[in-house]
Amino acid sequence: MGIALDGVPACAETGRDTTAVRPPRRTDRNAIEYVLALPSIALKIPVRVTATLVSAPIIIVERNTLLPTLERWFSFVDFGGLQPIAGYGSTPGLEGGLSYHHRHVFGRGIGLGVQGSYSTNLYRQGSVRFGGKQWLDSRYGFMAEFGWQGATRERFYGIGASSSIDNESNYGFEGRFGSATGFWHVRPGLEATVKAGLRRIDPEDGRLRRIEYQLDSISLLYPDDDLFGLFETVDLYEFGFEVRHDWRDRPGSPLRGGTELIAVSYVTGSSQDDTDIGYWRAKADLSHYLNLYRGRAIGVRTLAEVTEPDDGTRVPFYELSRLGGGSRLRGYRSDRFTDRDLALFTIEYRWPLWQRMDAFLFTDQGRVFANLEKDFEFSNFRSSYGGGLRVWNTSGGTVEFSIAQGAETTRFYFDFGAAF
Amino acid sequence: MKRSLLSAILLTALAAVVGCGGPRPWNLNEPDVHPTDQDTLEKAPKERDPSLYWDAVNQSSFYLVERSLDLPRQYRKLTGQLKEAYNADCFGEIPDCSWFTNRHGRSRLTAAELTRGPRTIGGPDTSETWTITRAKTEGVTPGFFVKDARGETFVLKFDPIAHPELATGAEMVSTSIFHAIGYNVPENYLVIFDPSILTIKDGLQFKTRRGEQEPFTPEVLARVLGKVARRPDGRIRAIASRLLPGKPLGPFSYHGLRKDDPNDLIPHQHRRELRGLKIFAEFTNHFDTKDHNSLDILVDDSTGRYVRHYLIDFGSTLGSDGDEPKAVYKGYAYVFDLEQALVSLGTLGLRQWSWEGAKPDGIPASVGYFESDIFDPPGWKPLQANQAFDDMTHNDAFWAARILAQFSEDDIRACVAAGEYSDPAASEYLVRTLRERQQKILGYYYSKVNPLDDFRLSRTGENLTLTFADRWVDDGVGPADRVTHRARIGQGKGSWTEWRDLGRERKITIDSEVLSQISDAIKSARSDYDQVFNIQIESHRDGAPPRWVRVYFYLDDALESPRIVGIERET
Repeated sequence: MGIALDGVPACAETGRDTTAVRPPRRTDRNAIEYVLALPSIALKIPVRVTATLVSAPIIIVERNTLLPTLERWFSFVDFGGLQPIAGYGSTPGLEGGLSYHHRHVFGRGIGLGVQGSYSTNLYRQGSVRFGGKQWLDSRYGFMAEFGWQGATRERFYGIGASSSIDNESNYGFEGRFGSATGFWHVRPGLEATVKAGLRRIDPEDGRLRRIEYQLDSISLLYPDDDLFGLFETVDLYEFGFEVRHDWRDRPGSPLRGGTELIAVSYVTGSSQDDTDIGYWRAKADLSHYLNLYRGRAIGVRTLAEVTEPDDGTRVPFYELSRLGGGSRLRGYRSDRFTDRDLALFTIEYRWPLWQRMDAFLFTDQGRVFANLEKDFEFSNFRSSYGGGLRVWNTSGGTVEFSIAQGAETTRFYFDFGAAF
Repeated sequence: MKRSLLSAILLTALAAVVGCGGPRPWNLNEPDVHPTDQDTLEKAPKERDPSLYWDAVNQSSFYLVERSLDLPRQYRKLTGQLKEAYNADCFGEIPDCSWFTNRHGRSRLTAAELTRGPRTIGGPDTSETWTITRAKTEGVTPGFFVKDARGETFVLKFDPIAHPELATGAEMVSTSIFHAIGYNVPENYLVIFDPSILTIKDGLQFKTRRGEQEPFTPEVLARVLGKVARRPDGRIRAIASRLLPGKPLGPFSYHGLRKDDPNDLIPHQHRRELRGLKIFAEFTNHFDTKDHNSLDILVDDSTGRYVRHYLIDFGSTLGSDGDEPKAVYKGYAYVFDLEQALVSLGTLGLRQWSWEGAKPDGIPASVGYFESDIFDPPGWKPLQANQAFDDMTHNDAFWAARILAQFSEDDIRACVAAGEYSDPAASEYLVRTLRERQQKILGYYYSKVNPLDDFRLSRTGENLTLTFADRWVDDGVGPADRVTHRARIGQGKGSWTEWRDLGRERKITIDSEVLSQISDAIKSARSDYDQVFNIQIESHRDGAPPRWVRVYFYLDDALESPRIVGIERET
């Protein structure tokens, strides 16, 4: 290989570098090239600046072992730990708080959790949770929870499928709740839950709050008859049963399988003016995934919810079924539609962009009904469509960004947890 | 009109500067065999400690954006005129230096030498105890620094518990291959030892994942060894990597210069051995070619005081990913491949990548995932973008491919033997797969230049005769009956003769008539430069566009001592 010349000196025989006199240090460009590269250099300045800004925290974290230190301060890996709560939403505003969770208080799987948070729009909540979904690694679990919640600017657009976005109003409430839930892990993927709980809800007209509202108060726009439960404290007692079957092949980004959730509950109670409350609610939420090829999959979802009041009783307006938002009819504002029943259909096409990063396109079709059984028809369904990106892990954790277009608005979502 | 004129002027200037011209493809100077980058340093360079995470983020995102905004480079790339390596000589070769030593590519190593690789001392002494002097915290697999009874220090690296022989086999095989090619690599030894010979240095501490110092106790040792693969007899197979002689200075970068090293004269992305490393990385699927898998060592011995540049950590080569078999996409896409992600996004997933759906069926477990069916040399990608690889030209690739071609099947088998796989099928699979990948690499990169080689120019009676080899045929890429050559003689870019068909013959004779023309030219020559002539050979290969190679030669006044002074290839 190389060069070998007959009767020629060592130079060619060795194939040595004939220019290997120590050269001056070379640079990537000569002077003229630098001049010609000036536009590129100018274009690259913002990239370099951004890179510098990004590099600094990365290097600081890596060099100063900041993350392990934070982990050491805030987390006790063996038994849970103290975690910050932080977030932002257009309704609650900027939210901050703390949660403490101890995984094994009285034995393996029996935990204790305490959390509280407060937001700039005066949304606040606190709760204590005790128990575990699987006590002592058995198939059974128990969880008790008590808490308090305050909300100041819940949206309401009226009841019925023909409600208008122009009639947006708001209300607030304070609630206290307690519940006990029993879990039965029948077999992997199949779980049954029974729940008994009580709630005391103390609603308030939106204008009564001391934050500055941009929305009209609910009582200015709607007749009192539509707003049963707004002007009095309501006590609710709930008993429910739920079965969930999850047979997705990989929860973070399923290609095959699905989930079926069937829930039935009965709620009884009364308002301060002694009006009886009593209704049944049934919910079916079915999802199925079909792998087209190599990670490209179709997901379909059907959600139906039916509320059936007992004779002579009423349902507080905030207990009715609601449609709109990130997991129920994307492209519409949260709780945009309210009525006794609802139906939602979703079809989504997903395809992989990279390892554990998917893109998706979807369309949602949904509608609320006064009576799903009698009134159901495919007309007047509200549609939305959109797409997004999803980063996932195999245990089911997801971070999702999506954009959805409905007939009324364009909505952006950034969620931990997939829509379905 | 004015704007058009200005644009035309600018484009012309751009073309003149970045696209054309360049140094003469030949040189008349006498050789200097002394490496030019090993002058003794008065001041030791400082240790580099670049951020691993920032490097990954930068190379996977910001660098790619910056590269796309580099207009002169984009112009060169579009016109197929990327800068040639700065350290290649006029024959396309590179001299031995602190980065690279020409070995198998220049004079073939024996099978024993190939298997032995860089190893010189026979490994750690297993007849006595080993003292653990430091716990290795870097890397994805656990490891220790141990000192044997002779006082030699080694880094021990293990196989993951579920994948015996996976990482150690890959490390050994690739160490032999990269050493034979010419790179500086550590002395890696395969050892099988009883863990009872391990003792712990008094007071030894180790750094936990949280950065805390804790005592390295026998319990910690047992816990660590509980995560590594063991043989049925309880002994452990491991890599013992001998500490490199000298002072570690941190990794080198595949871009730019080490500014505090006066010997570092050539931007690294313009070094042929670093650009050509891509070919060898393709061959071995050495996808983890980030900066941190390299190491600069300050050598201070009888040869002088200078920086020597090493490739280290081959545990993620072949089918191994260090702690598990390689994921199917590794080697076919970056660890985060923005380009593939954007194409997938834009095509709604209709674009299908070659690696999608690949399965490691039929591959011996100790090999991991290593294949040659969907392997596509130009489509191969490392862990993250690499400036030197991006700047690789067809001449760089040809340089590397010629070296790779020197590995016969027996040579590859000798290198694989270093892995000491207990399953003969694993060794055979590796030999076959490496051989198939080699053939694909040669087939692709030989098609990008005219791969004529081994030129010999001699005076035969009244004539001059040039003979040559054809790598495409000789290395088994294509059949001899599908190639024809033609040649012409000239000076500079001009030609003195018409094309002369050579058919399949690899010889061209310059007869007395042309020699007479040459003689006339020499008589009127004003300097030696006017006594350089060339033979341009164009080869037509089955189905491929014809490409030429020019062989420049110097003739003295008596026409007696023909000397080849340069080779230029059409790319």
